[in-house]
Amino acid sequence: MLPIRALLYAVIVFASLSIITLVVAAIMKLLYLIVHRKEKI
Amino acid sequence: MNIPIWELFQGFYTLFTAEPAVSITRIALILLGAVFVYFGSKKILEGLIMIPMGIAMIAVNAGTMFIRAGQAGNLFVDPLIADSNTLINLLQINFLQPIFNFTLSNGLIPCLIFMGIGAITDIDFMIARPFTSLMLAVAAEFGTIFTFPIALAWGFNPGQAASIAIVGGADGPMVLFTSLTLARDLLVPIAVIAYVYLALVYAVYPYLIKNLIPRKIQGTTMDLHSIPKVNKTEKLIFVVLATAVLCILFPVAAPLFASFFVGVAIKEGNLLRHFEFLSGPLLYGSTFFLGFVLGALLTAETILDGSVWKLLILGCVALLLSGLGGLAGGMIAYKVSKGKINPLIGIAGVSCVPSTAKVAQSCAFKANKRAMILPFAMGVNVAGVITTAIVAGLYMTSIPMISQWLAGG
Repeated sequence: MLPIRALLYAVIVFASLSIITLVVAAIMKLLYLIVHRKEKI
Repeated sequence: MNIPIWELFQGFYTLFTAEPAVSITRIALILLGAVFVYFGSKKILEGLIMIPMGIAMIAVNAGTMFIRAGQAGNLFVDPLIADSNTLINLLQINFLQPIFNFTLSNGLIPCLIFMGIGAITDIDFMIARPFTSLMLAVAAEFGTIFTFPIALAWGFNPGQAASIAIVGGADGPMVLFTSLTLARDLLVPIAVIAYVYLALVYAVYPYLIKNLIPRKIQGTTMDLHSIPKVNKTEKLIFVVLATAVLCILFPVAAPLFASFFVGVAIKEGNLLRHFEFLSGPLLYGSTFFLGFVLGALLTAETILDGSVWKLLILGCVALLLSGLGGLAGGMIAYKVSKGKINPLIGIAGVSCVPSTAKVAQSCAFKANKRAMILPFAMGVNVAGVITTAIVAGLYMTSIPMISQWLAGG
């Protein structure tokens, strides 16, 4: 049987990964939009 | 003088003086080494790693001799030396001991390989489509995360469980670095299993794709003109920001992030001589010595450790879960984009650069000769390197703090 705490830890790691990745993606998107702002204008 | 003739041929003689299990394993490893060399030369397994590893396995298991007081050993490397005086002696005797102690056991070789990988990595698509690339890569981390509780339930301690779970990221240097930090005792079997399985990705993932994704969807075309242009300044700004942010978040994985991003920066900064050095002699030299030293570490004593068969199964589970997660993420992206994203790019989130991206392209091409998805798959592939490094960073940072709490579960 899977240890409950280990499973909980895995879920926390997955959630943390998703949040950190979303932040990194948002920074990248922001950067992309800033750099290409002039082109759009 | 009365010298027994057998003792002149110690390679043979030690086969008869050792336990039968040790002798049989030695012979099996010699044969396995030959198989690795053959498969490596036929491109069934990755020859760059497998050929040096196979030759070293043959040599170290054949070249066993009496080293001191009737104790069997070899003149290659001894990974279990803790006493500094003995280590100083062995550095002058075992010819691979300096390579092991000064490049492998301190994590230098994985970092050198990462510099080379960074130098050959194209980050255009990932920067242009960060959400698609990174979210697909997160889905493909399913194995690196959910193998952990399985391994823990199977009797491994948290550090060992995390190290074997990282195999699901299909990133050799990352596996080495995590094992060195969290499970030094299992470094050799985990590293060997990881590299053998990575070589098998070419063979196994196409079957997974064939059986899980309908052929019509496999051949989904993607519009190459939809990839926005990304200039070099933008890429360099990203490299600077990513290095700073990821190193602040995970100082324990900072050497890996620094190595990867310095490689990318060299490429994007147009430093031709540095680029040639990182992507050529450094990458291939480090890969060669890694394969050769790992082969020399693969002795009967290592294999006869009772946990190896469990590691074999868990490594397989980790890679399968990651592949399934990647494909599931790909299917979600396909549905959300109303058929504009080929779901096969999801499996490229398993960050075996560039193998899984090539697997995705090859399967898509078989289903539809006009399906060109490699640039998209490479974006997800590179994102997979970053997400695997984040998972490794999370493990290396948190496990030493909460291992007692985890064991109590």
